[in-house]
Amino acid sequence: MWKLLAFDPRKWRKEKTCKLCGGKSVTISEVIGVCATCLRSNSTDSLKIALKAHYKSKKLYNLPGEPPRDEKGVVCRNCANECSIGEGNVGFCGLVENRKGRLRWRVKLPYQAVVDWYYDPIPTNCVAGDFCPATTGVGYPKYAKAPRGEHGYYNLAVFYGACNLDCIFCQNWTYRNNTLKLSPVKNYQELVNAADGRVTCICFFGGDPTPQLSHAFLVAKKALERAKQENRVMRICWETNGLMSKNLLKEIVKISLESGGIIKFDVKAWSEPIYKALTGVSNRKLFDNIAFIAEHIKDRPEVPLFMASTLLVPGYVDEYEIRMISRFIARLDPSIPYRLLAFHPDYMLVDLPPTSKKHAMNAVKIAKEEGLENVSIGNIWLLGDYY
Amino acid sequence: MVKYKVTIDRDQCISCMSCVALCPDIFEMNEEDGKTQIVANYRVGDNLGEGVIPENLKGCAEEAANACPVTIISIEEVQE
Repeated sequence: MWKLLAFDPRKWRKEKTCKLCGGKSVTISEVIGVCATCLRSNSTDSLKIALKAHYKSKKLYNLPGEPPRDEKGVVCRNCANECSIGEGNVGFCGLVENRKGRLRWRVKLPYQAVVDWYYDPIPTNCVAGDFCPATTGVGYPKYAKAPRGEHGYYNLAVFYGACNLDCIFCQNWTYRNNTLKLSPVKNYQELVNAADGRVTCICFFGGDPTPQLSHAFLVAKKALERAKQENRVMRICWETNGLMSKNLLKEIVKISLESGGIIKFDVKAWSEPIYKALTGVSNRKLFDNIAFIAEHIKDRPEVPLFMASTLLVPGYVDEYEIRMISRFIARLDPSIPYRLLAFHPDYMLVDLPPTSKKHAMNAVKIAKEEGLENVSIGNIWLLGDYY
Repeated sequence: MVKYKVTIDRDQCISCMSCVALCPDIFEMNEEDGKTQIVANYRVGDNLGEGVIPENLKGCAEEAANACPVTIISIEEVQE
């Protein structure tokens, strides 16, 4: 249903009103209910309004509207949400529950997961495509099959059917049906079998790999063992919101370093209230996680270990957000690639226009001003003169 | 010969199964409570969370211990 409504320009050409300050703009969303200025300056009142969208979204799938904080609950520390789950209840991701005082996963991790996969021919539309071994040959021969791009080979795209965030602009929102139905469920062995001689990289995405990381670890480990025996290149990459526990992130870094893979974090916003309004959860641990990965970038200079991307949500992911994210990343390492992605209306956030050309160009300028050396724009065809 | 004692604080286990994924030779899921335990081969007595492993499995046990999100796996050297 959301999909059908998503491309109705009448919705995003209209001026909408901020319920707190009364400001009007085409770049204010009625779905969020408040403007970015109010979110940043009066987060308590703004979030009371903005979080309603998440309660609505999660209710459609029988899940809690916020990460649960039950005083007598059991705390799950798999991801940064650290849900405290009361007896008989379920975590924000929908995959972990408290059964008789014990955390139980609704799927048989690590052997099985709610996940699907497909072969994605190289060059793919990967956010790291401009500098990855698959498309450029960087790191050849250790990390790339060919010196100028692996034409004729495939990425094994592994789509996890759960997420620890609830982005109201989600472009892969159908994963929510997978969580709800706990289907499809695949055994790790099916994915390892699929990672045959045609495959040079595996990308874990979704949804997000975070709620089911142990399955991804098992697939990665076995696929790497197989590739080593068959004397083949096999890179393991991750496209994630980056809000997993630090120890799990350490393992992601280890696997990526060893295999030549790239860790791709989608940094949705800098300010916590903006992040919460867009995703339903806090970003407090995200920048710590980024700083941790940055410490390891020099361990493998041939292929970038890490990149960040940000979706330019009109009116919300504005100059301030881009400036602060860029400043943070540039101080860690100015060579970290940063890709700014054009937004299009999707899932629930259908009353904002696609990103304007002016917004995108300004974002690139700001990111460069802050010292980032490798800034690019993705989904460029979506840009127009919308605001 | 050097051996290593592996201990899991099972009360704190969140059942994410990362240790099982990274080191199935030592860790497995307990079907009753869903938590991780030491495989029968290396278990010491009746304690599901305590075992002694040979030196060749030390690296695998360490990888599991480092990835554990609640840091409940410890490894110490024992002389036999």
